[in-house]
Amino acid sequence: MESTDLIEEKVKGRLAEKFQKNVSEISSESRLVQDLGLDSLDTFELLFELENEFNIAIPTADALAFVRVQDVVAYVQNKTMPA
Amino acid sequence: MGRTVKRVVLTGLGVISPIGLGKEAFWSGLLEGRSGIRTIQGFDVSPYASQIGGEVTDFHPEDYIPVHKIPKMAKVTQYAMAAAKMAIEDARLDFPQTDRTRVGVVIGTGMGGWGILEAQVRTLFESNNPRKVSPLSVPMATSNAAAAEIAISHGLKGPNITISTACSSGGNAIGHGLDLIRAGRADIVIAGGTEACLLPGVLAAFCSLRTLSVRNDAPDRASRPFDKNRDGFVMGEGAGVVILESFEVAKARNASIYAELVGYAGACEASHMVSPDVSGTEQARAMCLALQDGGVFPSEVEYINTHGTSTLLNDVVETRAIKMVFGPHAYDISMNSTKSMIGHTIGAAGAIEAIVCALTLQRGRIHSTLNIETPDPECDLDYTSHQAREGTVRVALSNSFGFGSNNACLVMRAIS
Repeated sequence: MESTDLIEEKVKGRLAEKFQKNVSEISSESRLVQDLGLDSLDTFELLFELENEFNIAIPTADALAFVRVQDVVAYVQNKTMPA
Repeated sequence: MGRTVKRVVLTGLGVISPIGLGKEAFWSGLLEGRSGIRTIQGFDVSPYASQIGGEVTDFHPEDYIPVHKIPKMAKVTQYAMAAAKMAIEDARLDFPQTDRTRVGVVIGTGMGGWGILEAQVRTLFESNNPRKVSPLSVPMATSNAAAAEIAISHGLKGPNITISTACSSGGNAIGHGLDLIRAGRADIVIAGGTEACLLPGVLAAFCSLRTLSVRNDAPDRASRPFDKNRDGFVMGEGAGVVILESFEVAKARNASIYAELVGYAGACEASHMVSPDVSGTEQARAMCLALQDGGVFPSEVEYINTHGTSTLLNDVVETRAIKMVFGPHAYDISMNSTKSMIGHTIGAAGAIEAIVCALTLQRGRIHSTLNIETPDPECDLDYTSHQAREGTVRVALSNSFGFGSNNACLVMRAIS
């Protein structure tokens, strides 16, 4: 299991890079679409990066439920938990 | 009989080439007779039969494209974006003041996003894991990425077309732009060609086809169109984009005009995938159709930017075809091959060479053809060997002959 901090750092880092922002501008409460402007292609790119980074699979249906940054972090954390 | 077709003019030029970025650097390189051919630096070419190419150097995409978009664009798209930005600025187009539903984009490319495919296919096969293939592969590699990204970045909502006819793509793209304006489907068309094909897979494929020069020990002397000792073409990369505009629109906004694009013909030899009809009849037919389309008599043509590839077959056949069209007047026409300096930029070539025609008409200078040391007896026309020359040109013809026996010719007239 990866630590929440590490996952959060990575998710925020990716988003910051993608939208040319400082990591500090992205909070756990930031909404992916409304606040950060993620479009569908950005989303698939993010999923691609997370899948490869954490060696997990994220079905599209699961990703549709992500609203805020913290949802992504919680999902990844849950996925990386040992069974 | 009066011609009623809409007049179309060139009002902006943008070019990315192995001898310079932007029309002025490119033009002075041409007049100086600079060669952009060298040993390919982009990857290890030691196992390849041909190891030379016209690479674009000192290209900084951030000068033309928002930084966050750069990683989402293949190099072929970046070149086109850069050339389009230059052309738009050169034409002083003011898009907020323009009806952008009336602005089209037509871009030619032979290989398109092959670079992205190469990288992603390598990843797939090395990992044996389809999940490693980037979701950006499709939008980056698709052939129409360049035309689409240009439209997106400038909000251009007219027809958006990609033309892929190998080595004549750029010529056909500009010709199609002319057709769109004549047909009333657009008032302005951003038209051109782009290519970024100096890649392992493309180089290997062309090597196997044995069409490339293997004069690896003397890169700057390898592209030698019309010389007896030519041994194939040299692959180059780059982009050329022009602004085509209906004469009325250009005049109304007081645009400065390089030249008028008066004629275009696209014609297929319908004979062979890679070999031209050696009689020259078919290339001659394409030239005649373009002259006819422009209402130009053969005797009016004073300059030809040849296809001039430096392959054994092309240069002889093209010479034959030119004589067929122009008769004895062929010997009075100044010609040159831009490929002698920048190599063959495949899908960009016709567009870059159209830019050469526009500048030649505007400035009255004809660049030289490099490396004609031992003229081929079968190529006995005036190719402007050795040195650039001065000379008013009123009518210019540009030839592009592509694989698939696909021929495209453009005719331009000076603005008096």
